[in-house]
Amino acid sequence: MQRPSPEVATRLFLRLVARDPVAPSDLAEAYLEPLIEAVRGRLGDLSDPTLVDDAVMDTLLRLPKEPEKCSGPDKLWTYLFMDARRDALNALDKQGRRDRRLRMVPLDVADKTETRNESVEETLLRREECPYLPEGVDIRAVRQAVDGILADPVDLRLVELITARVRGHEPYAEAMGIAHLPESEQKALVNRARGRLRAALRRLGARLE
Amino acid sequence: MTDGPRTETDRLLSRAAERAAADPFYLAHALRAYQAAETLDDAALAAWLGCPAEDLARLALCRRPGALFPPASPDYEEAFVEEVKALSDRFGVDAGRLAGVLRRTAFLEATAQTPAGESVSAYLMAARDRDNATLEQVPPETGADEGKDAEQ
Repeated sequence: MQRPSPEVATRLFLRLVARDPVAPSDLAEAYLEPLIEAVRGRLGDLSDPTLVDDAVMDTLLRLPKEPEKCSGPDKLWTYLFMDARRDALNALDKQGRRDRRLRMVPLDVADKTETRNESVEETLLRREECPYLPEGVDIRAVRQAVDGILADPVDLRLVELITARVRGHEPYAEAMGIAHLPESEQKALVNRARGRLRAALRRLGARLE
Repeated sequence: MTDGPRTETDRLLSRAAERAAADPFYLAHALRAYQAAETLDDAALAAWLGCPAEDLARLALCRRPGALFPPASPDYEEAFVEEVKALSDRFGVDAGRLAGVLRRTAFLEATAQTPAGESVSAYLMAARDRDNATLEQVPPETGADEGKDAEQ
């Protein structure tokens, strides 16, 4: 299972930032399998491989609540991978400590010892304290900006190039269909489009430097 | 969200939807509460909403309509209608029935969380206002559906 293309990542990231209600489902569908494969590959053979599945699922359920934590569409895979891997390692560590504790505690005491494992419900309810929208964000303005980018295939391609830190004006001019124009004119038009989209992305919370 | 997933993706999405059911941000949470209240299995819920059973996990993994705003605020009302329609367009579910499921779930949550009737009346008023609003798209009901509508 391959990781999603940059175009898919860009679209998903923008839809998450715009709080599109279907975006979390599409994120899970696009990333669940490849992420599980990647994290399992990194952690090697585990006695309980579902531990990785759970970590990846929790990561994919967390991001739509605070998509601004990911700095841009080009970082989406890395962000998800690192978050899921960290969660899986923590769970592994916790499991190891629990196993060690159980081996050391006499059985009659173990029977009376409350398990300290937080349930999924408790964890998620605790996380409920964070707001779903950052302070001062006008979601209508964000949606308008995102809709504008998604509706225009040229803008979407330019956003991909910008967030992938592609340098030089040629790829941009090609995407804009102005490669036939004199170079100075190409550069001027590319700079203008790039400036407009970079400003829009910054307003959406993407960190581009 | 556990009835017979067919592919590995379906199986994983189904498990993810199970986990999402613990989180009020996700539609899975409301669907699970509704299933418990109405004793519906996944197939029955999918049939009621009008979507293929294999799409139920995908639907459940969507954000709950209106979840970004406090209930009964003007922003909530607008977002609720808009987002129920978005889910309906994407998954082919009946918008009126999905809205009904969410209203009933909100009512159940309110009654579970508040002391004797305190804010229940507010929820009932909000639900009545919503009934007069945009989402009056429920198709003519068959006899089998009447019991459920009467509860909303």
